[in-house]
Amino acid sequence: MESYLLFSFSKETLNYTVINSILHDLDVVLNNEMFSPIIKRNIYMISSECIENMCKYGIHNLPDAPLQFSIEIVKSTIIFRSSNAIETKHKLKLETYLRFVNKLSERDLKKHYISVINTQKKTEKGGAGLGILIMKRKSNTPFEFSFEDFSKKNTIFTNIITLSLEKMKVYRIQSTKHTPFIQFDLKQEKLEISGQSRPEDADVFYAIVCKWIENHKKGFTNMQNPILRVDLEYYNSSSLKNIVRLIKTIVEYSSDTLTIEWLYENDDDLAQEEALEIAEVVKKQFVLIEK
Amino acid sequence: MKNISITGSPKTPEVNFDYEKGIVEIKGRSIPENSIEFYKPMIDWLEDYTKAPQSKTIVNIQLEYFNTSSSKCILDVFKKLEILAKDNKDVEVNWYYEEDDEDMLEAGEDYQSIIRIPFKMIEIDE
Repeated sequence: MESYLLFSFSKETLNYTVINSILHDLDVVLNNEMFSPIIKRNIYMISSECIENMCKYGIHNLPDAPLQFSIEIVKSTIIFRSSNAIETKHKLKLETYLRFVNKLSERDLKKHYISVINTQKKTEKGGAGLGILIMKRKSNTPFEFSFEDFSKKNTIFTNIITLSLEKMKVYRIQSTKHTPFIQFDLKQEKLEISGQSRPEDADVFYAIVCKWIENHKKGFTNMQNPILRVDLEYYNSSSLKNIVRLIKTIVEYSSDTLTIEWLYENDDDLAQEEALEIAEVVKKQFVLIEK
Repeated sequence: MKNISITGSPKTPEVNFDYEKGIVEIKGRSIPENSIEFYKPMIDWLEDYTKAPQSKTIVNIQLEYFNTSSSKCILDVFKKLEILAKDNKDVEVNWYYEEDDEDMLEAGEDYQSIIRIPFKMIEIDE
């Protein structure tokens, strides 16, 4: 599985105008990625909390210790890394708090969050604790943090937050003029591909879909009675080989109870024949449904 | 009482507070630079509203996401509405969340556990 850098920056200083433009850039990057809307929202929220905290609590204007942030995709996880200098005298407090948050169970984290939001006085400066709680709740994995002595007064604080894509049980791509609607709902056990498929670059389009399936192998295997419904009005030849590969992958990961429903237009003998051929290639019987 | 009507932006939600209709609506993203400043007119409006409220108040909250500082301000909004409920006024809170967005559903449940007003959780299609 490929790993790549999704987003990063390194700044000597940050303010709200800069943060706005950073978040705008992140929005653009996310819109070009085939993540589901929920993953996009999670990435955006964790990033904005993280960057705001860096801006508020990091020490600015240290050329050798800039405010750094990156988002990396590694296998089925998204890794957020932030690094900034803090005043050494605050290290112990921060470390203690992060250790405390890391130890909280999901339930206790929720309880603690509710009590903090309900009792803490809101101040413009305050809220770092709350941001940390939100990031922990979103990612649901412990923070990996470290401190490195930088100067007498300052320490570099690095924090790594991991968001697992496995957590996401539904994958959805809205249809466009050239691309199909795709939805894999592992909870409801309903998989669907419908509409038109003639993307500009079918290989790229379907590679991303296949990647999601790869990342959710277990989810596919664990479904009891999954149904894959294919209702394609039109697909071009470069889509066809990708669709075949996609179905093959789903068949491979799903249990034998998988049902594939293939819908075709009334009287379209050619489509019916083609469906039978695909069924043969993927080694799975289709339930042909005339529309 | 003047109504509040603010159009949404990528950083701030659409806001509609309608006195005559007894409607309080916040929709969209809430990540303003200064949440306290952004929410202050709403808190002030609600403060006045509680003095002469309609017999029924309908609250529609449909947030895509909000940052930590907004989360406290939103709680302040609910705390004002809680006063109405304590005065035996009818307050209906509709918390909208997008299909499958368990995080936003959970955020609604968090507020509900603090505020003594029942929430109606409404799932919407994207």
